[in-house]
Amino acid sequence: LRPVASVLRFVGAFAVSAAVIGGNLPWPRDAALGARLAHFAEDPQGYDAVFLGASGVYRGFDPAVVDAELARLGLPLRTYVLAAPGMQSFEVDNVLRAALAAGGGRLRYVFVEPSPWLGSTELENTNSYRFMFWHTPRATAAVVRTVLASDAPLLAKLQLVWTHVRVACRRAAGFGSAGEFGRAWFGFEPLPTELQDSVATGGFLSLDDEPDPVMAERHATFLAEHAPDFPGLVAALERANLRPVDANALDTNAFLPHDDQVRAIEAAGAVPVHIVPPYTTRNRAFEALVKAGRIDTLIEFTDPARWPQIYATERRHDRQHLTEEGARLLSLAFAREFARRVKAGEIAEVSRP
Amino acid sequence: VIFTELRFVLFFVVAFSVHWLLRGASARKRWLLVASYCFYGAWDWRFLFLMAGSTVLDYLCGLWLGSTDDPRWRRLALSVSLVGNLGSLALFKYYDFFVESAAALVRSIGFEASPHTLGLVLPAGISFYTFQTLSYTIDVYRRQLAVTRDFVDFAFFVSFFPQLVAGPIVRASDFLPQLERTSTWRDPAYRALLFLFLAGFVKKAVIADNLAPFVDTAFEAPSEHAGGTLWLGMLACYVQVYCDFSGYSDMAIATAGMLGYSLCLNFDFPIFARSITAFWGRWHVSLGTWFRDYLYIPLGGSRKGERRTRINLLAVFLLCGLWHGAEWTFIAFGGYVGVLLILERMGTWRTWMERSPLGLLYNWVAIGVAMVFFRSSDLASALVYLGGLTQTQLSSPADPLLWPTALTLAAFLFGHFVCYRRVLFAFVERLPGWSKDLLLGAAFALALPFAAHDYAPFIYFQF
Repeated sequence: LRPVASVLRFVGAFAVSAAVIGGNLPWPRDAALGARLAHFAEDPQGYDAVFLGASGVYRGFDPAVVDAELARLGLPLRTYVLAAPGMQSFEVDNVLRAALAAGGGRLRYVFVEPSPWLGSTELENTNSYRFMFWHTPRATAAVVRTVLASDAPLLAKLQLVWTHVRVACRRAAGFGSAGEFGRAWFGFEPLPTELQDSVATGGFLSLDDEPDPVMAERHATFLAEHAPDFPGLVAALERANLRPVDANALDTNAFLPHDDQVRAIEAAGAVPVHIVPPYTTRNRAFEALVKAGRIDTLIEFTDPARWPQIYATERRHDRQHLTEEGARLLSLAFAREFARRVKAGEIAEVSRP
Repeated sequence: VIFTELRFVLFFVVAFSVHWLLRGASARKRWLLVASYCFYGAWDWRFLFLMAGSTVLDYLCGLWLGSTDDPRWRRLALSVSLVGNLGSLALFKYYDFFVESAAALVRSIGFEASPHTLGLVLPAGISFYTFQTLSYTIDVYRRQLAVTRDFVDFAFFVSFFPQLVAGPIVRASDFLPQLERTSTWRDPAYRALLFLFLAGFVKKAVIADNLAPFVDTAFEAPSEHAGGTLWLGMLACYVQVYCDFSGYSDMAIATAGMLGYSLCLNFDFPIFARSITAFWGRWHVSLGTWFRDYLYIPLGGSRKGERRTRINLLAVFLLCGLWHGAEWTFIAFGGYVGVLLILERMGTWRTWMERSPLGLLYNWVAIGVAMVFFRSSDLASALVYLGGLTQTQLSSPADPLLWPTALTLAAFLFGHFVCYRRVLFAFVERLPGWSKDLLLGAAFALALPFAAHDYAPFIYFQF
C-alpha cells in the first residue's frame, strides 16, 4: 500500500494546489473586462441593465447616451457595457453569469447579442488566456454538448471536444496564468488611461478614443480602401433583408445553450432583450429563433432602410464598427426603440424597489 | 506530441501502466515498441516507413557482420549501413542545401544554374536515430558489441520514444544490455525521476518558451535594436537553447527511467563551465562523445601531432555544425567553436581561465557569439547582429521590454545555481517520504502557471 499512498499524496497535493490556483484566476485584462466586472459588482448604486456581446456592442452602445435618452423618455435605467471584442456565445454566457451573480438581484434587463453557439475554434486563439478563462466546468460541458450534437464528421467533433477539454484542464490548473496574477495583484503593466477611464463611465470606449494604434490604422485603411465601396455593401444588405426568413437557417444545436441562458436570465428576475449591432451582414437564424418562440425580443440594427443614419459611411470606423458619433446615434436609436417596445407592452416592464 | 503537452501525459500514463502491468520482459518490450511507433506516427505516419527501413537495414547489416570474419565482407556490410543511413540523411536533410550552394557557386563565376531541389520535409529525429543505428553497426564491426539477433530488441532500441526525436543519442552498447535484464515496477526511483521531469518541464515551458518571444524579436531585425537589447537577446538565446534542449533531455531521461531504462547524461551544467573545452565536455554530451569515438579518434585524434590535431578538431566541429542543420550559419557555428577549441590548446591561458571567475564571463560571451550564428537566419544577419553588439546605447524606444527577460534570466540563473551547488539537497534528502510526495505534487502545480501560453516545439526537433 505504500506506493499507492505515495501516489495519492502526490496527486492530492497537485490537485489541491492546482485547484487553489485555478479557482482564483483573475478575470482577463482584455478591454479591461476584469476591471469592468469588478466595478459593476462593487458600484454602490448598482446597475439595472447590462450590455453583452462582441465588439459591435462594445463599440456601439454608450450607456451615458442610452441612460440619458431613456430618462428623457420616462424609463430611467442605469446601464453598463460588459461586451468585449471577439466575445462569442460561450464567453458571453460566462460573463453574463458572473454579471447575474454580481448584480445582486437588481438587474432588470440583459441586452445580449445573440450568437450562433458554435463550438468551433477556427477564429479563436485557443492558447490565449481569455479563451482559457471561460472554460469553466459548466461552460466546457455546454460547449462539448453543443459540439457533439452538431452535424460535423465524428473525427472533427472529437478533435474539437479534445481542444475544449484540454483548455478546460489548463484552466483548472491555471496554466500560464502567472503573468495575469502579477498584473492583477502587483499592478504590472497597468491598463492605458483611456481604458481605466472607461471602467467608471459605463464600460464603453469609443473607437475614436482607443489607444491601440492598430485601430487608427484600421480606420485609415477603411477610409482609403473600403469607404468608396461601402454604400454598395449597404445596398446589398438592404436587398438581402427583403428576402423572407428561411426556417432552415435555424441551427437546432443552438437551442440547448440558448434556452439555458434565457432561463438563467429569467431566473435572476431580468428580461432578456436580444440586440444585433449594425453589421453589414444579417444572420437570419436569429429571426428564425423569434419565429420559433425562443427569442421574445429581438432588436435588429442590421436594417439600413430603417436606420440609415448609422449606415452613413462617415459614421463608420470600419465596415463593421461605428465612430463615436455613429455610436451616439446607435445608442439614441436603441433607447428610443427599447422605450417604444416597453410602452407598447412588447417588452415586460420590470420595476425594482 | 510534445513532453509538455497534456496529450503526452495521457499517452505516458497509458504506456507506463500497461508496461508495468504486463508480465515478462518480452511482452513489455513489444508493448513499448508499439507505443513508440504510435508516438512517432503521431508526428507524421509516413516517416514510420523510413525509420522501419533504417531499422531493418542495420539489423540485417548486424547479422551480416556477425556471420562472417572475412574483412572484405565485413567492410562491405559496414559500407552498406553507412551508405544507407547517411544516404537517407543526406537526401532528406542536405540534398537541397548542397544543390543550392553548388548552384550559387556556379552563378558566382558567371554561369547559369537552375538547380532542381526536392523540398522534402525533414523527418523528426532523423539525425538522432541515424547516429544511434550507426553506433550499433560500427561497434559490431569493431567487435566491441555482440550482434543482436532479436529483431524486437533492435527495433525497440532504435525507436524507444523518450529519446527518439531529440536524443540523447543512445549507444547500442549502453542500451541493448539493459534489454537483457528484468526489472520490476518497484525499481525506478520515482521521486528523483519526477523531480528531474519537473526540472525539465520548468526549463522548457517556463524558461525557454518565455524567453522565445524576446529572442525572436531581437533576432528578427537586429539592426533596429540598441546594443543593450542585442546583448540581452544573445544571452537570452543561449539560455533558451540550453533550457529547450536540456529540458527535453531531462524529461526524456525521467520518462525512460520510469519505464526502467537509463539513458546517458546529456548536459552537465555547461553554463557554469569556464572554458569552451570544459563547456563542450558538458554540452550535448551524447553527440560530443559520438563524434569523438566515431570520427575524431579514427581520424587520429590528438595522437598525430598538434597540427593534425587542429585539423581533426576543425573537421569534426564543422561536421558537428552541419549535423545541426543544412545552413551556412550552422557550419559557421561549428567552425567558430572548433577555432576556439584550437585556440584554447595554445599556451596555458585556458588553465588560467578555468581557475578564474573570468572564465565564466568568457564562456558566456564566447558561447553567446556562437549562439548568434546558431540562431540567425543567415550569415549576413549574424554579422549585423554581432556588429550591433558594439553599440553603447542600452535600449531604444522600439525595443521590447527588457526587464521581464532580465528577470527571467536572473531567476533561472539563481535556480540553476542552487541545483548546480546542490543547495538544500541534503536537507530535502532527509525529509520523510510523505512530505516529499506532497512537495513534489505542489511543485508541479506551482510550475504550471509560470509556463508560457503557447506550446513551442523543441528547437532540436528540427535537427
